[in-house]
Amino acid sequence: MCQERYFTKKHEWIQLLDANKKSIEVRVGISDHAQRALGDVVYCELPSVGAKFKRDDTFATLESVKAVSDCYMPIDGEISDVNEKLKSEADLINKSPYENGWLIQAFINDKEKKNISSTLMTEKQYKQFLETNKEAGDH
Amino acid sequence: MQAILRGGNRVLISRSTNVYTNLALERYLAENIKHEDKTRLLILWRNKPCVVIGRYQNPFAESDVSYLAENQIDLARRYSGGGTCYHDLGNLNMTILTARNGYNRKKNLQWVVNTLNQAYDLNLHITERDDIFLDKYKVTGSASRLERLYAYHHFTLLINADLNYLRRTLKSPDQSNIQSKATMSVRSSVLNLSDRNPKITYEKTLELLIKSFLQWNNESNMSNYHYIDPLLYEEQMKSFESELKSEKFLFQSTPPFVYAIKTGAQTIEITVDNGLITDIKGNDSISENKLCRGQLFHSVHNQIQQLKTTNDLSV
Repeated sequence: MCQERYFTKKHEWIQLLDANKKSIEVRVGISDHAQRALGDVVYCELPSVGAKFKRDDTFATLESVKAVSDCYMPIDGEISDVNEKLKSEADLINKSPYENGWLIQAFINDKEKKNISSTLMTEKQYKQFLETNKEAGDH
Repeated sequence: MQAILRGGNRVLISRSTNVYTNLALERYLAENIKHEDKTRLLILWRNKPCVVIGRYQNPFAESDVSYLAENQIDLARRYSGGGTCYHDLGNLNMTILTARNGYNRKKNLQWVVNTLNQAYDLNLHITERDDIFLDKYKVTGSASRLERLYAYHHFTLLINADLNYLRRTLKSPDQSNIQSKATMSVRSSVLNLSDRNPKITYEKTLELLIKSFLQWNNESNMSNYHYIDPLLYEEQMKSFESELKSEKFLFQSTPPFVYAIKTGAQTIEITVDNGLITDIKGNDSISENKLCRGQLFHSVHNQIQQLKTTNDLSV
């Protein structure tokens, strides 16, 4: 898997999976910055396969150090797979946010595929975004 | 717009002592207030005796569900994370509601610690898990919920709660039977502030915290606090309150678990998913006991308890 990862302002990432299949499938997770900010994830509520979500819908909910927070879909899609390992090892999200700690996979359509690069940030842009927002939220 | 939905630095004190009403009020305000950057809303509330579990906890592993029912003690699941706590009128709850980017648990707790240490000459300190301790005893537990536009951090403060009742309600007869990945409570020894200094009362502390909260937030209008009767907003809060009271939220949103009963010869394993018994292994006679697949675990919990007792005697 060598497709580029794209990021949302809410710190989710999305990556296109093997492009040889008939359907377009993506994998979604949270960024390294997000897992650091959350702290140790102890529980992870994932959607059912087949569930359909619009961009910005809550598709998963995480609990870390007594805080519950939601994850939002980067684009429209239908859940094709969830990371079953997280049900017993939620801390994979901390240990490996970009590999073993992925959250869900989803089928998307052609239009959404084009939206990935036009509406989301590349890794470089995301790093810049984090840099400029460093001081925000501290009052 | 209704006056209670105004943004800005303010304090609201709930007149209700019903846990479902207060949790619904908190959620209603969080969802509907037009949150302004750099401001905080403080909600102060307390409840009649009840047990409150975290969003991803198992009520059976955390409390004595049958005892609660027999003694008319409410059991509630909150929307935030963390562990189980017992509330009564001797426990003050505080919610600090901000815009999402104003969320800062350490600052909130620092305000409480500074205020109480100064006024009551105490030596309270904040722990890594965002609790407040006096020496080695816990007086405050934290939990929070982060949403797209807002976040709230709420925490308890033991002033003069009934600690014997606290221990009794949180003593689960099922804990050793349950295998689950649900969030487990971290148990601590607890202490009432009034045990350290009898002059500390609920009323005095409430007044003290209101004043210091407004000062902390540079609010010049020191009368910017209001008592509210949630009954007046019953209609608007209805959907949250009925969700909080529902068996679906209370029991069926429990993370999956396996309930194991060791009998003389074998172990019976009851698998529960979304509150429903999906599988029973180890004993054919159980299905004759009406503990069959597809039943809601909480509705047959008493029978399971009986089964446990019978089997324990036979060992």
